[in-house]
Amino acid sequence: MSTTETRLDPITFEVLRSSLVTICDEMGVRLCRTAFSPVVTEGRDFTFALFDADGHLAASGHWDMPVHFGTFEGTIASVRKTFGEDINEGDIFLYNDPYTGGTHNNDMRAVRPVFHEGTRIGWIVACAHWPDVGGPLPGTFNPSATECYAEGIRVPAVKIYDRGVRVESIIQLVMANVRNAAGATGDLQAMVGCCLGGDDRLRGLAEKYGRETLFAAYRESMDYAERILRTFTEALPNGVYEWTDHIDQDPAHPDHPPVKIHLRMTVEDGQVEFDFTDSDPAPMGAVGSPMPTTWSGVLSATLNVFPGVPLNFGVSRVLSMKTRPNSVVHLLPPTPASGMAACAFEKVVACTLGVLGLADPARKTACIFNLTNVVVGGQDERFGNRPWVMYFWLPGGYGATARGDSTLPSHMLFGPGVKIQPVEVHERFYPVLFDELCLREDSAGPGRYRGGYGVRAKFHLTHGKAKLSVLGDRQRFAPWGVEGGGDGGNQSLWVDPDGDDPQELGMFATGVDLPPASTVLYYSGGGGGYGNPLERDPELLIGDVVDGVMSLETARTQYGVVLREVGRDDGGFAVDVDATAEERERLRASRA
Amino acid sequence: MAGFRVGVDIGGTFTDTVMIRDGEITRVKVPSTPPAFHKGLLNGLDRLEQPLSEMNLLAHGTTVGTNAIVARHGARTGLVTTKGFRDVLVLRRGDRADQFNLWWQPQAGLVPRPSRFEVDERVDYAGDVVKPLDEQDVRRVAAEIREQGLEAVAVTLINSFVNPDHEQRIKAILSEELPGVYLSISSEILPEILEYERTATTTVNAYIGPVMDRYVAALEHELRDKGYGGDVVISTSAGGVATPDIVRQVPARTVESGPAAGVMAAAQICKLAGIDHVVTFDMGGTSLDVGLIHDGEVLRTNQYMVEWGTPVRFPCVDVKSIGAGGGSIAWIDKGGSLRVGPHSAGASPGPACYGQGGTDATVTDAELVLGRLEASAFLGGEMTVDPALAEGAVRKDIGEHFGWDAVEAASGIVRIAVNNMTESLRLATVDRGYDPREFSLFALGGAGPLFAAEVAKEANVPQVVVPRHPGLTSALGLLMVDIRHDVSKSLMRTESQLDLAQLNAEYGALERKAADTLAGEGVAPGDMLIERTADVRYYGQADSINIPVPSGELDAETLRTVIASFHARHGQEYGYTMPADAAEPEIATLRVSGIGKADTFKLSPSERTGSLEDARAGTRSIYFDGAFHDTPIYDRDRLAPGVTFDGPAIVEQLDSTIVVLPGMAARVDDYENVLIAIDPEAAS
Repeated sequence: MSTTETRLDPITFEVLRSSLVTICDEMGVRLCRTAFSPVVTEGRDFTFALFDADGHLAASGHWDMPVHFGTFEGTIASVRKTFGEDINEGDIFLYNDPYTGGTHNNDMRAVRPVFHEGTRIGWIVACAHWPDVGGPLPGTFNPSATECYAEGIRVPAVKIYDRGVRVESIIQLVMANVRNAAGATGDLQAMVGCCLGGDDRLRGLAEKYGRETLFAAYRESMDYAERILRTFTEALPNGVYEWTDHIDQDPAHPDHPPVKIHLRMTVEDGQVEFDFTDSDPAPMGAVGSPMPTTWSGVLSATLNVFPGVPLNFGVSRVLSMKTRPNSVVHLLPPTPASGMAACAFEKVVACTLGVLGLADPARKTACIFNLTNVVVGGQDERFGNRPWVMYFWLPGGYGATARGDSTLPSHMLFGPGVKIQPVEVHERFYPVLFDELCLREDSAGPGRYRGGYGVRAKFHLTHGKAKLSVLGDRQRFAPWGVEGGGDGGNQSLWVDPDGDDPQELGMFATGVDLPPASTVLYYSGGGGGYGNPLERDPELLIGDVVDGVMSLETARTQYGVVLREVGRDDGGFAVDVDATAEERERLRASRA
Repeated sequence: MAGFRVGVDIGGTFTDTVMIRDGEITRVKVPSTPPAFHKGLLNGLDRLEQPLSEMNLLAHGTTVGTNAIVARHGARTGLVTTKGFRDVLVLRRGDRADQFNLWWQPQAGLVPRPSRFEVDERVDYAGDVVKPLDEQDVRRVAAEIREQGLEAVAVTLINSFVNPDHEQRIKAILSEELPGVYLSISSEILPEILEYERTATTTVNAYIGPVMDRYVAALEHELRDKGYGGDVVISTSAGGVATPDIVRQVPARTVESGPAAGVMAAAQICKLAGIDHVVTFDMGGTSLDVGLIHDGEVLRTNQYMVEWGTPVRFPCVDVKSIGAGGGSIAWIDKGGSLRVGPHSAGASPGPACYGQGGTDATVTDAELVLGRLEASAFLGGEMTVDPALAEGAVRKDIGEHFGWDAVEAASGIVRIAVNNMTESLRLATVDRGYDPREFSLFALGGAGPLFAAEVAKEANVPQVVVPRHPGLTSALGLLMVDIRHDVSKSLMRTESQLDLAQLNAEYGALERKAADTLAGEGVAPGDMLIERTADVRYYGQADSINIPVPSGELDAETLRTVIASFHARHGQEYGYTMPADAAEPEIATLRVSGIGKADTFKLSPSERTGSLEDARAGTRSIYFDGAFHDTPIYDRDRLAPGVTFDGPAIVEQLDSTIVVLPGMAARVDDYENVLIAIDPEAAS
């Protein structure tokens, strides 16, 4: 920490610190209201962040996507590397390169350097998921890609506004490579509008308080985040903590062993290093993550375990990461990255939760269900064969923790603000009809504290055929339990589950032909359990059984609890104490 | 008119009662009496010491419904859904309230799973029946509801907003099978797309239905016993009032009625004062509510949530609420920075200076240390406060950490609180495309006038308006609004798909529904005002903009005008419009408001005369801009129209204190509003 530069009085600091965060939030509010794509407006798949003049993260919004956060400093570094001195007032850059500072190609970033009286005073990055950025499949998302060239257009840093003048040729180049260019144009317009709004606000602060004061606010915001994070990490015992998790398969080589991700965390006097160098080499299929996204995973999990730490560059002074180039968590082109969110990113998060729980047992958690991308598309016979692409995602179960049971489903740490698309909206925009969308029985990981329940969704095609792709992971390596707790229900996807020829596609499939009237069934995972299920208070199972989310069979086989039916006025079910004692004794012996 | 009328604002802690008799305003404040809120109301009426037989009108706002939800003591409620969708209420939209907090968990829903029932039926997106309703299934569900002894049932089927037949049939069967059970039918109360939001709204309605029913019945009964035979009206979140019968049918329309009344009052008062664009700044003990009036029109929204994750999708006066009030607590966070709120010491134990056991330094304590509040005149002398306790708390909690004395610490607390409020003001204006420089800040609530001038300065709002009775404005507002009902219907047709005949038919049906409701409340046809609007968006967008629609038969020309004003509004709010080949405008939802013109309370110009000196009540040493200044104190009750004065100045009155900062200029208008020019030189 520097002591020679301007120090702000505590009041000016708090005012500016809070204003920087508000600027990011304001841009988010504005994008939500102005963007076109439901994946942005309803899915909330976007992020805004503010940087100091050197491109270090100074503030980020309250409602943005954790998967993006770790990548932005790379975004700005790429712009600066490409354009050097040719970065001017009025410029806006477009960028999405996953390997140097993007996530996947769909996550387009508008990058705005902000100037005040000719001096660069900061940067704004507006990042939003575009529904399509080209490639062989509608929606771009291509889990069977074996090279990045099959994952749509990759945009290294390019100028789309040059000193305030729109560079139409570059924008046309991009739009010529995406499906639904009109929608993408609307989204781009909205992102640019947000950048300009944020630019005004940041310049306003420089005007009102002076540039040096603003720069001091950046620095001190970083010091502040660092101080708060250290209150947590300095309480961790020094030591080395290890965790291993797996991606179910390399989709390009389903016969190969699962892909290992290994994390060794070293804590030394509050400094924390996350070392992934013992992870497997990069698979050929699109399940690994480029290094910037891996860093997002570490940040996201750590800040979730230690709530209240603002995210900015100060955090990077406490946490560091080591990866091996060309490994599963540090992809290099042309290895594809389409499935990184559902595969490597989620495992990085899981390993980080794992090691932090080892270092701080009071914050130990079982595994959370896994993000799944389901994309279905075709031509809509209802509306003159209009092309359609339906993105579909579900919430699922969280892991039980040292603090107790997990309750209702929600979205994974990947995107806490993500919202489910309503069934009524899906059916209006796409030729599908949903048969159910409900809690998935018997999917909670058993334990002294039980994990959360997963979700089940079933829909069928109403008009014409379609193609389906899915990438979700954790079919084979289900969300794990801890301290003797069991796994949560694994994830899966079926076609025509009730038909003559039910097909389990699992979590890795691309461009599967769905004949007209096909039915699709998708289960999201349950959360893992915490502690030995045989030690769970038997009375606590009654509620789940009465709710119809746990079968009597599960209560008996997983928990050793025998329930018998009693009158409604007596609660519906009661614990058979003797039979339970006997059953638990038997299970204890057989599990020993 | 002989007799008197009464407005009662029932809050969680206090019940504010305002009586108008012969143009004179009398105020009574009594503790609220949860859960039997009507007792507090009656206590307030008793304290007026007037024969109720002479009362002409009782208008009140109530938090009975909201409290039932927050405290989870509503009716035992069931939910009937399409087969496969019983969990829609707990799956919500799946989002998490907190971005980085593994330990956060969603709350349990209002209906436990065994009381969430499914019936076999299905309607598709176009309203066509895919699977007919299995009536035997409905009767089975009815038997189960009876068995469980439920008091209320919500019915929401997928796509019922397009075709309500199955819901209607279920209603008929349940009414027959379950007499006395409260029914809430989604296609009747909110025929709009989005199954979660519609289900949540319908369920909230069912959950508080029996509670409101009992409340209204008890109130009417006791009033009758006391000799009152006149009208009782209850305020709604949309900023109108409704009769008890309507409130019984759609109680969820009352959930955000308190803050709405304040904004409605502001609209009336500003109209008289000739002010078109207003930001309302309603600050009490625990929260700040910010609303917006543009061109004299109160802005409404349907994005309200009664608690996190529980939307109630009725049009509602758009009020943004943040945890910034007089009781907001100052604290040092883990990183060592000074923060104010959102936690509040509330009314009990209250700020440290109350001496009721509260030890946390609050915003009120800070203002007392700076001399802006007068210890002896607190709440018009109804309450005594101890400046030494305030000073001690501010110094110990905040000052010692930074090495500041009490005054420095207090000034820091106020500055941070002002910044928090300024940011929320920005969210209400700039981020919606409005320029704060065109607005006035309307200060109400007990604490509003204390902070308004400073916040206006920070937020670039050029003028502050303080009404004659800032602390009573919400209760007064209840006597100033008309009867109002909003009805709606999702249409979702793009410009090219629009069928004028259908459009006219749908508007006709909505207008009949609104007029019938008004007629049922005794509004004569000549007093009815029916207004149409439409939610318009570009096809594919999720949010829409509410655009006025002319009445009468719509033709291609009027439709073009509506679409043109949509493009214009989109350009203003969002900064761009879309060309026709890129995105077609779509009429998402039709809306009709039925307004029953009531003989409401109107302010009249003041006849008070006098000079500034007549109002002078003394001088106090008050801290502004880094030093204490001898500051004149004026008595609001003696400030006459036409009087002008410069800041720094303090104006004291029973229900509030107005702060005018150095460099500002104030004047009193014909209605005794105090208007403060933030930068008099720029204004002249």
